[in-house]
Amino acid sequence: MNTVSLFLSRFLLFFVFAVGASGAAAQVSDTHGFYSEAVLKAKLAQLEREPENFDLLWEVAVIASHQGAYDEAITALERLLVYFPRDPKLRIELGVMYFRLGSYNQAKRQFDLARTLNPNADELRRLARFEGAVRTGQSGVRFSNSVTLTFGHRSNILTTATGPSILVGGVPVLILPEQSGSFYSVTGSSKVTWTLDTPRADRVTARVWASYSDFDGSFTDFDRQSYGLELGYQRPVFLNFEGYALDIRGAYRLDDTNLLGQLGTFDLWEAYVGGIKQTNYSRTSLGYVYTEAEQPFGSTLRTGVVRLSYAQRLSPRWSAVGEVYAGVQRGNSQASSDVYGVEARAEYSHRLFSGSLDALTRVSLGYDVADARGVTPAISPIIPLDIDRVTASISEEISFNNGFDLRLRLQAIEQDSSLPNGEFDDFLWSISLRKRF
Amino acid sequence: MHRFLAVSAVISALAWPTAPVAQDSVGVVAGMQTQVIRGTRQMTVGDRIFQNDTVRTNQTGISQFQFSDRSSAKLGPNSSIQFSSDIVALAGREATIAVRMISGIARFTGSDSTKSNPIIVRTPNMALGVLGGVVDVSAANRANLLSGRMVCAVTGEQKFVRNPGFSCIVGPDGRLQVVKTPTNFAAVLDSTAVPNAGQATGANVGLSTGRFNAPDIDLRCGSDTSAQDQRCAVDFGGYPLPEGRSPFGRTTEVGPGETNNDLKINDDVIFNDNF
Repeated sequence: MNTVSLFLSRFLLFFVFAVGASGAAAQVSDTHGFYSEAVLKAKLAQLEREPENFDLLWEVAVIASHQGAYDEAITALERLLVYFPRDPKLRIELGVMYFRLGSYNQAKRQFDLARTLNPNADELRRLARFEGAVRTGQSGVRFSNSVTLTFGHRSNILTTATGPSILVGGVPVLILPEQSGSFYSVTGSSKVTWTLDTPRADRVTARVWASYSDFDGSFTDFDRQSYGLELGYQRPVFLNFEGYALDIRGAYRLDDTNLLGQLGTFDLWEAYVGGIKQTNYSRTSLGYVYTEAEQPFGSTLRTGVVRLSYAQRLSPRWSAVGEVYAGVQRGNSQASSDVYGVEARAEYSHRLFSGSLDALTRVSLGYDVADARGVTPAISPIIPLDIDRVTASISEEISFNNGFDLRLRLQAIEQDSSLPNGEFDDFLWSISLRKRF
Repeated sequence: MHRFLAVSAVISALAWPTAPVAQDSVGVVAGMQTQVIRGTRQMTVGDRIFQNDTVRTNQTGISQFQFSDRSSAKLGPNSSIQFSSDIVALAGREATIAVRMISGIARFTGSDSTKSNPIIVRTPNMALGVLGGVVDVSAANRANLLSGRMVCAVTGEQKFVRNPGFSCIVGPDGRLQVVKTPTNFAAVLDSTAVPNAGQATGANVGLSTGRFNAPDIDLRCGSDTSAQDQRCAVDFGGYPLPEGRSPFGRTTEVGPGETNNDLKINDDVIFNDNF
C-alpha cells in the first residue's frame, strides 16, 4: 500500500512537471483538437459548404497529418496548390508529406520547386533539413549512433525475480539471499545503428552496442558490462491485396556481472521470425521467438514461444494492446516447463512540438499473467510458477533539435507470484540524457 | 488456380458490364484553374459529380475532384476522365471509385478506405487499382506509383507495385512491365505556372501568383526528419515499423540495459525498453 501511495504521489508530481515543462516549451498545443477524427469529419463537412475556405483547408491538412493520414493531407495540400501554385510553404509541406511516405523522388521534386519560389529564411531552413533527409532516403543507407547516460533508482531489487538465477525444473529460481534492498545505478551506453533500405523495399538493420553500469545498493555494490549485436531484416509481402511485413531478427547479448564475488557471465541469444499486418489504426503481429540463455554454473535455458499481439488505436491518443503467448522452456537436464501468459495494457500518448523540440508523454497501465509448469524428476515432479503483475508507467521524452534527448520515467510494479521472494512492490525511476550523432 | 482467379478478376474489371447505378453523387469539384467542362457546360467549384459524367480540362486547366470516401483525383491540362459505373471490381476487390482515363494525365490520391477497396482506373491499355497512396496515371500507357501500393492488370496478368518511383506499362508484346519512372513524368501536375488573366475564368476565385498565408501551425512531427522513426510515427505510423520498434513492443527488444529472457519473468534491473 505504501508503494501505491508513494507511486501516486510521485506520479502526480511527475505529471505536473512533465506537462508543465513540455507545455511551456512547445509553442503549439493541440487545443484545436487536431487529433480528433470527429473534428476532421466536421471540418470536411464544413469544407463542402465553404469549398474555397483556404484556412479551413490548411487545418484539414494539419489534422490529417497529425492523424498519420498523409494521403488525405496530400489531397488538401494539392487542392491549395491549385489556387496557390507558387507558394513555397505549401510546396515544402507537400514534399514533407511525400517524404514521410517514403516517396523521396517526389519529395525532392517539390523541394526543388520550392527553391525556385523565393522561400523566406524559415522556409529555407526547413527546406535544407528535409533536403538532407531526402538525400539520405534516396541513398537508402543510414548510419546513426548515440551515447546515453542514465541515472536511476529501484526501490526493491532483491525480492524481484531478477537477473542471477539458476534453473530448477527449467524454472529460474533466484540465488540471491532473501533480503530486500534498493539501489541506485548509473549506466553509460553507446549504440551504433546501420540501416539499409533497398529499392525493393527490404530493410536490413544492424546494431552494436556496449554499456557499463555501476550499482550502489543498500546491501551490496556491483557492476555490469554488457555488449550486444542485433541484426534485422524486414520485407513487405503481399497476399492478393493485403500487405504484410516479414520480420526476421537475431540478437546476441553478453552480460558480465560482478555480484557477490564474480558471479559470472550471462549469454543471451534470441531469434525472431514473424509477420506484421499494420494499418493506420491497428497492428497485428504473429511470430515465433527462440531464446537461449547461458547462465552461471553451466545452466542453460532454451525457450521457444509463439506470440500473438494485437494493438488497436481507440482514439488518436489512446490505444489498447493485447498479447498472448505460449511455449516451452527447457533446461540442460531433463527439466522442462510449459510457459504461457496473457498481457493487456492501455496506452496514452500525447505529443507537443514546436520549432525547437518535440515532447512526447506516454502513460501506460498494464496487467499480465505468466504461468509455467515445470517437470524435474529429481527434485519435484511439478514446480508451478505463477506470476500476476500490474504495471503502471509514465514517461516524458523531449527531443531537442540539437540532437539531445531527455527522458524521465517512472514505473510501479505490483507482483504476486509463487516464486520464492516473488511477491513484491517495486518502484523505479530514471533520468536519461542521450546525444544522437 | 491462382492464374484462373487472376484472369477472372481482370475480366470482371475489363469486360463485365453491370447494370448502371442510379444518379449517385461520387464527389465534388474541389478546386480548379481555368476551364473544367462537363458535356458542354463549364463547371464551378462545389459542383457535384455523378456516375457516368465525363469531364475534361482545357489546355491550361487543372482540377481536383474530392470523392465521398475522402480520396481525390487531380486532372491535368488537356485531360479527360469518365466516372464509370460499369467498372466494379479488380482482382476481387470492389471499387470505391472507378474512372476511365480517356486522355491526358491525372493524379489519384487514396484515403484510408481505398487501402482495402481501391480506386480503379481503366486506361486504354490496362486497369489499375490505387490502394491508398498516390498514383499518377497517363492515358498514354503509364501509371507511376508515388506512394502506397497499386495493382496493374491486363487480361490474364496482374502485378503489384509497392516501390515509389516505379511504373506499370504495357509492352509491345501486350504484357505488363514494371519499370523505373522517368524523372519528369507528370511534371505538369506540379506546375507552378499561373494562367494569365485572359485564360482565367470567373471560377478562379482564389487563383493567385502570391502566397497563401498559412496559419503558423506545422504539420505533424514538426521538423523531425526521421521519416520512419518512432518519434514521427507514434503508434501506427504505417509500414515499415519504426526503427528500434519490435512487433511486440518492448518484449522482444534487446539492447543496452534491457533483456527479455525468460518471458519477462525476469525483469531487467532498470527498464527493458529501448531509448
